[in-house]
Amino acid sequence: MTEAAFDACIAAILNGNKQGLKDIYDAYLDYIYRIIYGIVGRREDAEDITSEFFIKLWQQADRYKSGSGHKGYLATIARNMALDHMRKYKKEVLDSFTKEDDDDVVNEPVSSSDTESQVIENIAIKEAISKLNPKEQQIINMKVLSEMTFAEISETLRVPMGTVTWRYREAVKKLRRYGYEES
Amino acid sequence: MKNLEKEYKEQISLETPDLWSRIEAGVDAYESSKKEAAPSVSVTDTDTKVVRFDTKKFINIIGKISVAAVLILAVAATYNVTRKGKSDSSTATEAAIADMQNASEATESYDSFKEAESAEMSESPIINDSPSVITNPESDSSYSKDTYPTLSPSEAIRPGELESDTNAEDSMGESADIRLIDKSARDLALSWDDAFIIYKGLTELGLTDITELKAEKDSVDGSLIYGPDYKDISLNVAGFFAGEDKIPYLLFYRTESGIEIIAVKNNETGEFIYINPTE
Repeated sequence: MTEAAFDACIAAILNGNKQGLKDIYDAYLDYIYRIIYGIVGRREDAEDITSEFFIKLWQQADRYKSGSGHKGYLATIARNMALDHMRKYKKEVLDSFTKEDDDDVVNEPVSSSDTESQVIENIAIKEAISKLNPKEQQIINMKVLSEMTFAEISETLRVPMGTVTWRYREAVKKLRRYGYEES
Repeated sequence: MKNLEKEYKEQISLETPDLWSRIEAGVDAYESSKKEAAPSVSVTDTDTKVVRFDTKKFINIIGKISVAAVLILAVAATYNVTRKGKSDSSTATEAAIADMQNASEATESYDSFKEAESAEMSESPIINDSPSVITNPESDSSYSKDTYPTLSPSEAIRPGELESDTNAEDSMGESADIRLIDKSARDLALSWDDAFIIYKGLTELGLTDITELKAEKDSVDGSLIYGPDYKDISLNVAGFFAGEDKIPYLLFYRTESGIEIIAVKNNETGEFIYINPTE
């Protein structure tokens, strides 16, 4: 969606026309849902927050400043809403990142003889992700789905950025064994 | 190898549910609550009742405002009258001060006059020509119209022209209070204001060498003498000597509206040398 088209949608919303919101919904539902899902990690939570996101956009359309880059504007709001939810209801997830224990080896199916580049089995992406430990899944979701930078992930999870990047690299290595590599 | 990001995003997109009906319901609920909340700040029946024009109440309020305005005007008028009174009092005080200053000047001239009189008494022979001067001043060779303007006592000694008014009584009252400290002094004293005006009036009558001007306590009833102390009494009597032969005279005068000489009597012969034509 172009900036002008988005501005027109906002104008329609301000006039009480729901079609403006529907057009934004059609254009960005996947994008918003993916960002939110990447942070909260649960389908039910992602659906609730995504719904709240579009309702909030309707309520606060007058706050949008034209020309500021609507896609980034939408992504920022979606991330913030998801992170607020995380802080309220997923405190244990965030706390797990501050613990010193290392569960990287858990669910590790690869034998020591396999090389990093060797594909041991072709599985669906979600199944491959599920093979990672929770901390690696969180970082992959934030990095790939929510398109967050390492710095943002580090700040959100309250862990050093070096730790974030290290965990991310380890997760990518594992996924490579399942036939997936980063672009 | 598959692209991690592309595969993962597409997979999540495929799983994205249709949330529009849910979102639309949320928007409708929000708009409904917004409309329900709006009447509380707009005009409603209840609001109309609050602002409804009540004629009786309006008249009652107007009446109260009118009463308040009248009270305010009354207070303002009282205040102005009080201020004016104070201003008049200030003017009267200034006049009294001026009179006192004039009286002081009169005292000085009176003292110098007395000194000159003493000097003349030691040098000049006694000439008893005062009665002729008084009865017919113009027949006297020493009379000059420039020195002694045409005598018309009732005109010459009028309250306004004598620079005295009813307020002068206040200053005299103060003088009377001072005299009360010493009864003997009170019996004999005339205020400087009175003395100056009387001296001036007697001079205009043609009398010269006036000395020992003082209240005559034995000449009439005391209540008649001390006019300023008895404000309902109009007649005052004072005695003095005039002429080179120091003929004793009695002076009858009023003070209600300034010093007004009523009559002057030669106390040796009993002859009135002057009677106010208005009497």
